[in-house]
Amino acid sequence: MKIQFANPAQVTLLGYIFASLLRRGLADAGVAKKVAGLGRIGIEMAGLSLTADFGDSAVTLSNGRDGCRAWVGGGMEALIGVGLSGAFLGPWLGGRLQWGGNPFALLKLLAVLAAARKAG
Amino acid sequence: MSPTDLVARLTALVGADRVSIDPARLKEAARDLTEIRGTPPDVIVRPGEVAHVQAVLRFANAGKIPVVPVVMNTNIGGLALPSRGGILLDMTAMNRILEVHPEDLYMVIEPGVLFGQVKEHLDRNFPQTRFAYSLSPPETSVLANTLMDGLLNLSLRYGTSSTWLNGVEAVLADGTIVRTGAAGWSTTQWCTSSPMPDLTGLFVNLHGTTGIVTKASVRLQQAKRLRRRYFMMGYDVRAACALVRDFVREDICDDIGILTWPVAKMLFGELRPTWREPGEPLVMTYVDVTSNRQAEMDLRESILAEVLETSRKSGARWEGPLDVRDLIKIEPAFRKLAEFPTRLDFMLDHPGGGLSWVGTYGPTSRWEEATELSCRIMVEHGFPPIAVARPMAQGHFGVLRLIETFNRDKPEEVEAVAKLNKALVEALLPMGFIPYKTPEWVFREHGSKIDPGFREMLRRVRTALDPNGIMNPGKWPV
Repeated sequence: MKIQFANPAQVTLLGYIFASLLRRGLADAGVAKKVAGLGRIGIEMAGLSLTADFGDSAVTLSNGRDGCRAWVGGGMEALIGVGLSGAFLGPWLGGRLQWGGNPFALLKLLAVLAAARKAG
Repeated sequence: MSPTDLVARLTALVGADRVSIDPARLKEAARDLTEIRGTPPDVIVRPGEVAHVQAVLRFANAGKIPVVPVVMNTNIGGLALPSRGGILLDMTAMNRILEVHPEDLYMVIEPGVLFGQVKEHLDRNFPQTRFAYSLSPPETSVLANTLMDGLLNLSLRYGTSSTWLNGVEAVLADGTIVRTGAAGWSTTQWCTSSPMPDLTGLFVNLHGTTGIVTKASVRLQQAKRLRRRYFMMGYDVRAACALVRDFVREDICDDIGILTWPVAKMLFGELRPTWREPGEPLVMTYVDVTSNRQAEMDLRESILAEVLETSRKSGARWEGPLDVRDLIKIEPAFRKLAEFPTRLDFMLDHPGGGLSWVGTYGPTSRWEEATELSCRIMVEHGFPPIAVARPMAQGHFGVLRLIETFNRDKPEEVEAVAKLNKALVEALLPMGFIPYKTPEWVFREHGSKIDPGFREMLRRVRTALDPNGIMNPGKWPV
């Protein structure tokens, strides 16, 4: 699955980090199939926001969070913790992570992060 | 002397395989990574032993032929570029680690020894010791860095690299060999420069204008079993400078650095980042914490967290501290900042491969205004505001380095970098930030501000050691 930036001239650090995670996670064909056509998912980290629009054959990353079916956000430490452990219940219960929208869509995003972690 | 005669004479002295007049090599020797251009040498000589260096210098001195020493030519100051042709003395073949004394904590090395080589050798054979490394590729000369007073990742604790010297062996213009430090008296140890008069300084920061260093005793440090590097992302340069000074006061870190935001984006392949979303972090601050004992490590880390919390309470916003091992798991690109020496591919691998900087040593008390002013000047000149600030020698002073990448093959970019560097030095020098590895052009522009007494004394020293002015002419001109 291709990963692209809606505006390559204006990519945030969050955009780069997330693109790299997606690139590694979506190298797993099974995971890529699972999230194909998932739609718009928002990520907020330390005041920055990003939308990942999962199409059938590409994910387009854009700055800001509009029209997302689900979103997740928190501080850099909390999100990195989720990326490392795959666990988001603990940080959420501890108030370090917030989310909204369709939880099943977010679970699919977690599968991408887990695959990225495995890919190293 | 005709080029043919020159080659014949040098060949007779050192052997044909050590003398080159390959036009491509001569042409390449007139430039380095920077915007600075030299003149091609007439010949390149690659000595393999001290006797070769002596023979070449005696010959050059008699014929008043300029001699310029070089190892990897990565000094980012044009310091190994000939300005009047002559002989380029390529020291890369003298690349032996001659001695390592783990108990007395020093090693004796030749000028061609590289940082990567030292790291590999010590890690494999002497893990109880450690050396320090610069933010530079592994293929960088340890002695060149040391003689030009570079900064290392233990410079916060132990000072800039020249302070690690116990002494040098150098060949003077007339071929005389001198040894400084303890080796000036003792044949059995070279573990100290004390109590000898400090003549080593005659070869430090003078860029090969007083002699060619052929070996040196350099200090090693005790290895530490535990090491952590943490990153903190901040949103305010002033808060970052204050935080670093607070960390220094607590004496808990081996190294601390502030990197401005474009560096983070360059790790991801962006060539020259100029756009930043207002909400993005402005600076990355990193700290190295080491110890041999877990309890001490835990204490250092808790002090680190406490100092960071105090900064937060005073209104600063920080993300982290983030363990670099976790950052690497999330994003492998951070590996490039995890350990030194490091491949600087994100700064060097781009069209035209140009890298330049104004690197200064100055008071950390003025970092804030100097960094903000420098970054503003860089942006005004159309460059990303890439700044690196690191405290040195337990906070007695700090480095402030402003870095540019550019295409060396595009004259307009070369000109823009030269113009920017000039503006940066003009702004920083009056604030007490003195350029290190000082390029020739800085002396042309600002040499008149050097204390007349200092200049005269230096002139006398230079004249005494190099009466014919053959040693790297143009550098530190007096």
